[in-house]
Amino acid sequence: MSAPPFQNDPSIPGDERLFRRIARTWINWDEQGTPSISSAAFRDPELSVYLESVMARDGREPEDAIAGYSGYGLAAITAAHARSLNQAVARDPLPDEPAHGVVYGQKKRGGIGSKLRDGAIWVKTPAPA
Amino acid sequence: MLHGSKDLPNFDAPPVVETVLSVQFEPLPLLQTAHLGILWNEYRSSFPKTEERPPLDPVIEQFPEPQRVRMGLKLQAFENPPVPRLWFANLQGNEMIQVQNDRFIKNWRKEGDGEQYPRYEKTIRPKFDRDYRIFLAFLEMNQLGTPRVNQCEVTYVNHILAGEGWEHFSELEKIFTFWRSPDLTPPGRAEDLRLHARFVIPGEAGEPIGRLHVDLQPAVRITDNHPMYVLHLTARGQVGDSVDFFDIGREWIVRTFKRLTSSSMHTNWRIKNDAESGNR
Amino acid sequence: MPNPGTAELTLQERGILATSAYAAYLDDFSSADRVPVSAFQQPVLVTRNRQYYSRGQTYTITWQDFGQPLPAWFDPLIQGFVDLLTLPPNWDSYGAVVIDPKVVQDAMSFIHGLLGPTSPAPRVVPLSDGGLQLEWHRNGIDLEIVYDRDEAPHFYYRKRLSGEESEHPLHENSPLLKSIISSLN
Repeated sequence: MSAPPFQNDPSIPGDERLFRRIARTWINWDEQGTPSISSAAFRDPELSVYLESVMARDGREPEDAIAGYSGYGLAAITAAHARSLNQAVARDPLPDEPAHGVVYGQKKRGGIGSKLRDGAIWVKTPAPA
Repeated sequence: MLHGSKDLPNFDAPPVVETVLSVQFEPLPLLQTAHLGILWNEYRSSFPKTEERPPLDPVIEQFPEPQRVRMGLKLQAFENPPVPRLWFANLQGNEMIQVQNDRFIKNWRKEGDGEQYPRYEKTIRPKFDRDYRIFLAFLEMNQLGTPRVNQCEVTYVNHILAGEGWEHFSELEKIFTFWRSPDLTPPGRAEDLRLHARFVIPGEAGEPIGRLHVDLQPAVRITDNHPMYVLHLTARGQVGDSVDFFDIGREWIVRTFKRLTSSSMHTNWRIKNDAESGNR
Repeated sequence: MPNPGTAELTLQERGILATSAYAAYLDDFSSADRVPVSAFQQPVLVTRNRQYYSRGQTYTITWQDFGQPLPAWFDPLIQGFVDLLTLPPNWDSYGAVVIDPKVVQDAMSFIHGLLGPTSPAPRVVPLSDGGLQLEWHRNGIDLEIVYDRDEAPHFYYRKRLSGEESEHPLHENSPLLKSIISSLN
């Protein structure tokens, strides 16, 4: 059996914040204008995230993750929260994005996407439509 | 099975008030609303009045019939709004052409109680053929495609008026051959009757080629509240790749009309003879 | 001599949509001259159209019903589907694909038959794999009907207060789904 493409990296601490860009189509505003995130934003088996510690090391603010993405919001989950839902948290630096990481694991069943979403907080709230 | 036989029932004063011939074909994607406006020029001298209507959905008799399911939503992307159905009507308001990108329809209406109704073989069918040929020529001239016919439909609408052989809606046995009120109460004599019956029309080899729909309901005329039974017969189907089904459908309608209605009503409608001869 | 053949005597019942063979008649002239009598009006199917606009594109939806008023969920639901169809590639900034029109059609047909006149409208949300989900979050209940692309649809249901949750294949569990939806009112 081949190894999964991403292995959990224990060097990423549990309190590491993992940033996720949230497209407007994943956001619902209630009557008070409060935005909430759909679980659809957290269903990708190889969920792309930004590691806060790497961004901070490079002198980047969290909002840098949505620079150039007009209308997007920015949410964060912790590595511990992801791991509590049987997800692996791994570094996956890319040439144009050294802070890139992956939350890897099955998310389509068992309400995993919903529970990941439940642990998410807004870092940068999008402006209402 | 006789198709296209000449010995059809013939009435001098049948209760028919409207006849419709409809040919349906695969949609012509190149035929746009603007083309329909230009097409009107071909008919305008005889049909100077025009109106726009939503297009009719396609209908095809199916064998076997699929399990009845709820008609679901159908989402279609259009860069422009869908091509409408256009009416071209004559000034008297008794003849009309309807065109959309998958249908060509002609309606005839009887004017007034005393007017003679146009006959199928002398008037209705030749005029349909003439106007349909104009449509086909228009399509060819403008390179809009050639219709691939997938269904034909013939409709006869009859207003069977009270006071002509019957008075009350309950007097069904005076009008129709297929109804017999129960002798005992309950339920006793029916106050009125609504009915929808369907008959499979077989082809020459016995295979199903269409259906005859018979619809009966009591109604009143809007102008004077005159009671009537509306007997609506629609034959829908297809043989070959043209409009040959029209003659088959019309024959089924005429023969069925005679067999479903009583001989006393035939006398009122001045049947020419009882040997099923002539033309209706 | 032609034989009327097999007579299939049928009565049209209110609320039961018929097959295409019961299409509206074409007697546009004489139908204007009369009005039916009797309290039981034979319902006549009408074909309806409605247009929706999204990202510069026009979509027309067609359906047949008896001309009754549309429920409150109809417009927001259909607009939600249309908004999904006009999403461009990479709409999520993470390489998402466009939403599969067949998935939209399947979901639309299913949900149209599921919702009652007073059901709350779901949110229509795209999935990065080209699927979609319909979701409600009301009365302490989370309900998600999920159409992952190339997978059988299912629904996920959770009561937030108790944490009770369950997941079910979609088509085999319509009665349960209907009862959950009715509890959202």
